[in-house]
Amino acid sequence: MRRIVVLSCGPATSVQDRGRIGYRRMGLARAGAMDQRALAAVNALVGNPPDAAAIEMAFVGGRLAVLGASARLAVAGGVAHLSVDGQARRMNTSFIVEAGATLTIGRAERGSYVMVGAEGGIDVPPLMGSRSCDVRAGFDGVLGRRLVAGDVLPLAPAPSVGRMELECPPVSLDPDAPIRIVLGPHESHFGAPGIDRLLGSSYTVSHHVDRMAYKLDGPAIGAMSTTDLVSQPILPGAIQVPPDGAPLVLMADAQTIGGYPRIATVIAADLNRLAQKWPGEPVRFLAIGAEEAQAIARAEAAASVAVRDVSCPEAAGANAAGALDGVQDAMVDAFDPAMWELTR
Amino acid sequence: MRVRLIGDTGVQIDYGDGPAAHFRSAVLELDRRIGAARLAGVIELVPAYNSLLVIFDPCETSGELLSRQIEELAGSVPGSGAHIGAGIQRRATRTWRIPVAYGGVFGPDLGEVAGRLGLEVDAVIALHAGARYVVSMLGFLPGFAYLSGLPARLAVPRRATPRPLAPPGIIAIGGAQTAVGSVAGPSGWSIIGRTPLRTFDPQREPASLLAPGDGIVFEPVCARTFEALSAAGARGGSVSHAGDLPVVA
Repeated sequence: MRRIVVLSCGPATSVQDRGRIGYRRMGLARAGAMDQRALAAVNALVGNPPDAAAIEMAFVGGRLAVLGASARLAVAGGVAHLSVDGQARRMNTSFIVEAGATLTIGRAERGSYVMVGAEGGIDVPPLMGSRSCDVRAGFDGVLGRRLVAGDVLPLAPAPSVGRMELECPPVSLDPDAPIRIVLGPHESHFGAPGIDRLLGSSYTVSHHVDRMAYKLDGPAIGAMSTTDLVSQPILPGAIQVPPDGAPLVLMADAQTIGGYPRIATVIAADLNRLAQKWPGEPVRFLAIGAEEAQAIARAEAAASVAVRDVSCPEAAGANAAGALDGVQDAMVDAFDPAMWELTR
Repeated sequence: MRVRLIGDTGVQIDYGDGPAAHFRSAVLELDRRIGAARLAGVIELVPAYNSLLVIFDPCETSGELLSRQIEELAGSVPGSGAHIGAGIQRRATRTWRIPVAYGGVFGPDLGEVAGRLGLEVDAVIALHAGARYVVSMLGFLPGFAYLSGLPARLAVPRRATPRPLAPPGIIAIGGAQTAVGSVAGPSGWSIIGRTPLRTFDPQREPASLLAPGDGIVFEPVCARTFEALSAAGARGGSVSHAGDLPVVA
């Protein structure tokens, strides 16, 4: 059986898919990839359905060995140096790792979350409809904890590793673009001065960042009302403002219920980009209307991961030389278009 | 009642601030109606004390259309207008009998709670186990059940320093609320007991035994019974339903 063995990894490495949907009313977090675009990219590159599970690594990278048989892998998201047994490999491009070889993922140089996908997908048994790790759900096995050196992750049987290698554009990190938000539901707690401060200030990502929440440093947002709220359901993307005035953006592992007032919610598309920011990186917010936010979500969903073939010898040579000019996409037409339109 | 769009994937229905008991039946009735209506694009419904969150797929519907559909469904729910909570037909609900070992290693804060309330420990147990509760919502941790119905005499402020890891199955008081814990997790509430009942088990369908609207009564048990029931659970012994009152087998 093909499997990936974790030889070394950072403390925030976990198995993630698109997330656990349908159990929020029971108190289960959505979990799922911090950057859903990176998950979509690696799954498209190795020919998986979009809901296949992959390995998520934060900040520091690690080493993964392939055992049993060769496997097709792909890496996307935060930018890191890759090598297989000392030979450099490209991000955003699928490649074969022979049985017994080791993929080394360097520290993220830009962006923070790096996704490693494998043809067939990480095949640990799903719990409550998902293979996303949730450290608070009391799950047994690797879905209940972060990965550690020595973990063995089975890969589902894949049709064949014989097809062409694919490449796609990197996910956009765009560190200068504002993070778009929809105001509410408790913006009236802060009034115009609080909203102006949120929208007019430059915040930075603090060192208090994890899969649950990113705390921001910057001008405190004062509340005009001190009324205690009754706890309400909350979603990833919610910007809570606790009494200290420091905005807290809830991320993929956000708890289901919260009592702090929420001044706004980050739109789903931009939560991926926020997740990729390092502590110290600036964050500016831009308020948009709810209709525009939904239109952006529809456009994102309609866009597919644009993959193209890079497996012909000329292209491979060009890639090795670091140039993309030789990449050929003429072969695309020869294959089932459905293969190339893996919707995110 | 107020309907608000949350980000690009949520519609929140608010029944206003105030004691949860007034709104709970309205929230649960709206939850039931939206679920039964099978509206296009609705992914999840998350009921809470005085609000309901509807999570939707913007590719399958629009928040504006969904808001109108929800307002229509809510139109005739008592509580949506002036007469909050009045006149709602109580749904036929289940009532769970939950065994609890109070005090000692099971409820390390029971003595302190009794001291703060100026009550004997036995009086706290009698009051807590003598009341009937309703599950208002699940959340914070998987299967963690927030109950309404705590006798006012038992309200105690949250602890100054939360415990980073409380054991599974805690029975706790936080302010005017009490809860049945599920999995291990952090807690700032005062722990007065523990239940051997596994209210949350990801391998079971449904994973959470308790649901919003369910009735709860507590039955004090001794340490030996606690251990015996725990062991039965660990061996795979399950929960059976005895008429209207499910009990631990």
